[in-house]
Amino acid sequence: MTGSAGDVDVSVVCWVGSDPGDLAELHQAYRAELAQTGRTVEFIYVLDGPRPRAQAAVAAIRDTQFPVTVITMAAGFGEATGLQLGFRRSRGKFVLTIPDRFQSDPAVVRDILGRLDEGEEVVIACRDRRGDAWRNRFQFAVFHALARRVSGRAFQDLTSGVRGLRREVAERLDLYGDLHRFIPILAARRGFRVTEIPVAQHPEDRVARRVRVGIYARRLLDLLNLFFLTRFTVKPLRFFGLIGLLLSLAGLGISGVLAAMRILDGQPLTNRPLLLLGVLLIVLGVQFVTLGLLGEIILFFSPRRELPEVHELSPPAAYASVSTSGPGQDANDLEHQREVP
Amino acid sequence: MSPPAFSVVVPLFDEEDNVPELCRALRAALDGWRSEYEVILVDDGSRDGTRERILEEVSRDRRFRALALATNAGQTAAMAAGFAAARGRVVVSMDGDLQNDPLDIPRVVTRVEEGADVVCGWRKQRQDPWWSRTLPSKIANTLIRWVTGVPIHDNGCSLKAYRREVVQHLKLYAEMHRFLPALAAMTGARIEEIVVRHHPRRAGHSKYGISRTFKVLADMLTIRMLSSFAGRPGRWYATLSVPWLAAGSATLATWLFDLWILRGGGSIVLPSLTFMFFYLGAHLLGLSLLSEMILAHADRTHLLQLARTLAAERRLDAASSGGPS
Repeated sequence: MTGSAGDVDVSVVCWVGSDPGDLAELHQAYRAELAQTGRTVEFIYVLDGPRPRAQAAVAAIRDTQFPVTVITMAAGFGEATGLQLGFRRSRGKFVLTIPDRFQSDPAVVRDILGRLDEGEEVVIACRDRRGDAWRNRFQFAVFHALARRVSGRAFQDLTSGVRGLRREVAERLDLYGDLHRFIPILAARRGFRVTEIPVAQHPEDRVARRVRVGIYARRLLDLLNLFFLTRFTVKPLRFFGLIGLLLSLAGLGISGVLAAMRILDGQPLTNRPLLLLGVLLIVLGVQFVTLGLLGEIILFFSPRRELPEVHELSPPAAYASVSTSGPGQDANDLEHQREVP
Repeated sequence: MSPPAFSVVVPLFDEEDNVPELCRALRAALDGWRSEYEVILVDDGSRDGTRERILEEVSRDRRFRALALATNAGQTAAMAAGFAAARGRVVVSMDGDLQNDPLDIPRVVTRVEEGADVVCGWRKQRQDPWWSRTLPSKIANTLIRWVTGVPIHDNGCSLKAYRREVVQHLKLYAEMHRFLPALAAMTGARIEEIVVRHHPRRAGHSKYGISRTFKVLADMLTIRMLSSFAGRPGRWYATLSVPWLAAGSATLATWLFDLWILRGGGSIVLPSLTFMFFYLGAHLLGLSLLSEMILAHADRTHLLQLARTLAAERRLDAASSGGPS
C-alpha cells in the first residue's frame, strides 16, 4: 500500500461493471467539477473482473493533473466488494463514490464536498425523478417502499451511486455481496449522520432499462438479507427460533389431534395424509431452531462485533487531553431504535 | 496519572433526572473509602438531556469520564463500550436508575481483590412490582441457574464486579451482559455472589417489561449450547442426536417386525415416525459436524486467552499464599 490516509483531500472510487458507459467522458465531467474546488484528488477505478469492454473504457481515461489508479479484481465479486477494495486503497480525507455511467449532474459533487466540510458524515445525491421513464419510476418506488418497510428508515434514493463519505465511515462500512445499495441504511445504523441532497437526473439515466426477471428475484433476496441484517444479526435464534417454535407447535398439534382420534375414537390413520403434514411441520420446526443456534455459534466466535461508534466526550474547557473527538450533540436527531419491551 | 484502582461503568439511557443524584451518591459512597477510582458514564444515545447532565458532571470532577454511543444500541453495547475504556484492575457495572446502591460498590470490589473473578449482586429484597417484574425475574433466574449450572440467584442485577481481564476478553453482544457470569464460568472463572441493597425507582421510568420472556428463553438456549462441553457445541448436537436415532431404530424394528413377521403392514404411523426420527437424528449429526467445522475456523483467541490468564494467575495465587483463603 502506498501513501497514508489523509494524503489527498478527495478519493473518487468508481466501480466499473461489465458494460460501463463512456468512462473517458465521465471522468472528464467529474474531474472538471473537482478541479474547480482546488482540492487534491485521486481517482480509483475498480474493474469487476478482466472484462474487455470495461478495460477498453478505462484505458481511454486521460488525466494530466490527478493520479488515476485502476484495480482489476480477479473475478466478478460485485459492486459492494469492489467499493470496499477501492475504499481500502484510498487515501483521501473524503471518499466520493461515482457510478460507471451518468446518473445525475456531476456538479453535485461540489455540494457534497461542501456538506462534508460542514460536518456531515454521509451525503447522498438524490435524483429528481420527475423526468424519468415510468417503468424506472415504478421499479424504484416498489424497491424503496419495501426497503423502508424492512429497515424502518426512509431514504429517497438508495440506488444513487454518487455518495460522499468521510474517511471514518468508508473504513467502518463492511460491504460485501449486494450491500452497496444499503449504504445509507447501514451507515445510519452505526450512528453516522446521513443527509440527502437533491440533484437533477442525467438524461442518460432516464432511459427505460430492460431488466431480466432474475434480477427482480435477486433484489427481493437483497431485501430479505437487509431484513435479517437490520433486525436479527445480533440474535439469529430469536428469528429462526420463533419460526421454528410455531412450526413445531403446529406439527405437534396436528399429530396430537390425530393420535387422540386414533386412540380414543379408534379411527384408523392409514388414509390420513394429514399425519404427514404434522410430521413435516415438526421436522421443519426443529430445522429452523437449529439453524438459529448455528447462527449463534457463528456469531459468538466471529471476530466482528457490530457496535455503534463510541466517542469519549471531553468537558467544555478545563482538560481536554484524553478526548478523541468533540461532543456530537446533534446526534440526537438520528433515528432511534430501541427494543420496545 | 496512575491507573485507578477500580472503574465503575454506568450505562445511561434517558436518565437526565437521575444523573446528578447518581453522581452525588457515587461520590458520597466512594470518596470516604478510596479516592483513586474512575466512573465511566456511557450515554446510550439518549434523546433527553442526559448527555448535557453527564458533561456537567465530567467538567466538575476529573475522575468522571463520559462516553457517548452515536446511536441507541442497548444496554449491553453501552456496557461493552464502557468496559473497553475501563482502566481499573477491577471493573464494576451498575444501573443508572439509582436502584443499585453505590454503598455496595466497596463490598463487591473488595471481593474481587480478594480473589474472585466475578462478583454478582443479589437483590434479595427487590423493590419492584411483584407481578410484572419480580416474579418473571425469579422464574427466569431459576431457569438460567438450572440451564447454565452457574449458581447465581439474580442474573438481572446490573451491580457486578469483574476482574478486568474477564470483561476485556469476553466480547459482549446483543443482551449478553446478563449471561456474563455463565460465559465467564465457561473459562473457569471463579464466580461469587453477595446480597446487595435495592431501592425503588425514584425518577424516570423503567425500560423493561414482561414480554421479553421469549428473548430470554432464546438467549438461554444459546448459552446452554455454547457452554455445554466447554464451548464444543458439536458434541452437544451429536449427543442430542442419539435419542432420536435410537427411537428411529426402535420404530424401524417394530415396523419391519409388523411387516414381515406379523404380515400386517397397513399402518402409516410407524413408517412416518421412523422417517421423522431418522431425519431429526441425521439432521443433528450433520449440524454437529458443521458446528465443529465452524469452530475449527473460528476466532477463539479471546476465550483461550482468558482461560489461560485465569489459569496462570490461579497457580501464582496458590504458590504465594498457600491456596485461596
